[in-house]
Amino acid sequence: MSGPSYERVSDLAQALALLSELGPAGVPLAGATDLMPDIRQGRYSDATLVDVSRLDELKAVRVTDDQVYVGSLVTAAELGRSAEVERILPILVAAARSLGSPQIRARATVGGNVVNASPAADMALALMAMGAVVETAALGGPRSLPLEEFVAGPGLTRLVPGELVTGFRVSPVAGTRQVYLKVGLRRALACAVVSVAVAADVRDGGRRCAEARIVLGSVAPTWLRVREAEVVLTEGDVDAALIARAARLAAAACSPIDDVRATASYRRHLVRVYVARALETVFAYSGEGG
Amino acid sequence: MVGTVRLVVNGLPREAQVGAADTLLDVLRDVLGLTGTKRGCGKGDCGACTVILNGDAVCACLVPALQAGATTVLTIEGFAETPEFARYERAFLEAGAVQCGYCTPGMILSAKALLDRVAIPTRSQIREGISGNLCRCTGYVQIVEAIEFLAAGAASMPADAGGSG
Repeated sequence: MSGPSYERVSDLAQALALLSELGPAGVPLAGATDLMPDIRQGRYSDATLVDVSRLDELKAVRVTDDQVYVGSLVTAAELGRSAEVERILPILVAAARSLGSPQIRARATVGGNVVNASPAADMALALMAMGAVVETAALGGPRSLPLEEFVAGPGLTRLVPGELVTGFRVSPVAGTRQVYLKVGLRRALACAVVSVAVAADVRDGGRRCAEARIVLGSVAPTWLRVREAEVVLTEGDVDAALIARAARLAAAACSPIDDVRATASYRRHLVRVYVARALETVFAYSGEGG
Repeated sequence: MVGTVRLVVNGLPREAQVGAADTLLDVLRDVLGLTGTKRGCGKGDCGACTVILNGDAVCACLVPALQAGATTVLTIEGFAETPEFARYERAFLEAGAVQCGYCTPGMILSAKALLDRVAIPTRSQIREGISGNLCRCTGYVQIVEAIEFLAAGAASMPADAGGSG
């Protein structure tokens, strides 16, 4: 095994030129927390690792009253500590804090979490629930597309050779209620057995829902948005029965598998329970009517 | 193989010839002989290889060696030479937080990274701070207590038993 080649780039223009020249052989390397074990296994032995970790232009976080921009190289630790992001996107901060361990969060980037496209990706799920847009750059010019269209399957995205994710833009409706729930085999350093990201435009003190997004992790080949359940929530007064119906629809819509962490049927059960719990939280439903 | 990495380890400028598949852990252990940093799972799950890189606790097994260029790394050997370390050693001994010892260098450096950021952490912050470090001996209770001793300050610790003098 000869091992991969390695190039460090110092600005975006240089990164794009090199990635364009390398084509499919160019693999951007940022926090390396996902890539390094694979590199050690020899998976990238024919690739050229393009170390983008020093591109300071991709490390910005910009928060305005109605928009959050997060550069792709912002780490989970930075997001987890960001009071200004938490003000508008508490779901992203919660997801960032739930990821890995302090050691992993210090290096893992939001861009890597999305591009790695694990079905269990914490930050990606939160961004998708908030309708985030992915921004990319390439020699041919920038591109932006909704995150839910960006992901193509387990470990697969619509990123084309030569293209680099530069950041994420989220423009939430003011007051959108958000919650991220994750079930792992233990609290720390656990890959999600099931994760649920819910964002809802809640009206009338929690009785009505103008719009909702429910995104599930680890129960489908990739992040799963359950529109059937979302639509149901907008069709009437939000009460225990409506929440239960939405949760059942979510459980029916997912396609979990058996693996070392849990069985498919247990995962489906968890989806029903945790979607209901997430919805009870965002609608602050007390269980006593009204 | 691919390049030379130059970094500061425990206050000293060091360099190593490395390949793209080499990690900071390889450099520390195999090139510099700093075997206090333990090799465990190699995947970032166990935290035995925890070092402090530019102020953050990280898993050395996940840091590509070539990415460690121009960084400042503190390993247990370097920390052990500082006056601050005596408090950590004492606290871990007093609490009975060391059994087989394999996790200890990583635990101590995770504790330091936490206490450098939060001087007086809550118990839940302590548990969070060491959540990336596995210990298969102690059950963690004594380790949490050791860090609580540290947070409470050396002055309030027992002054007689097992001290380093």
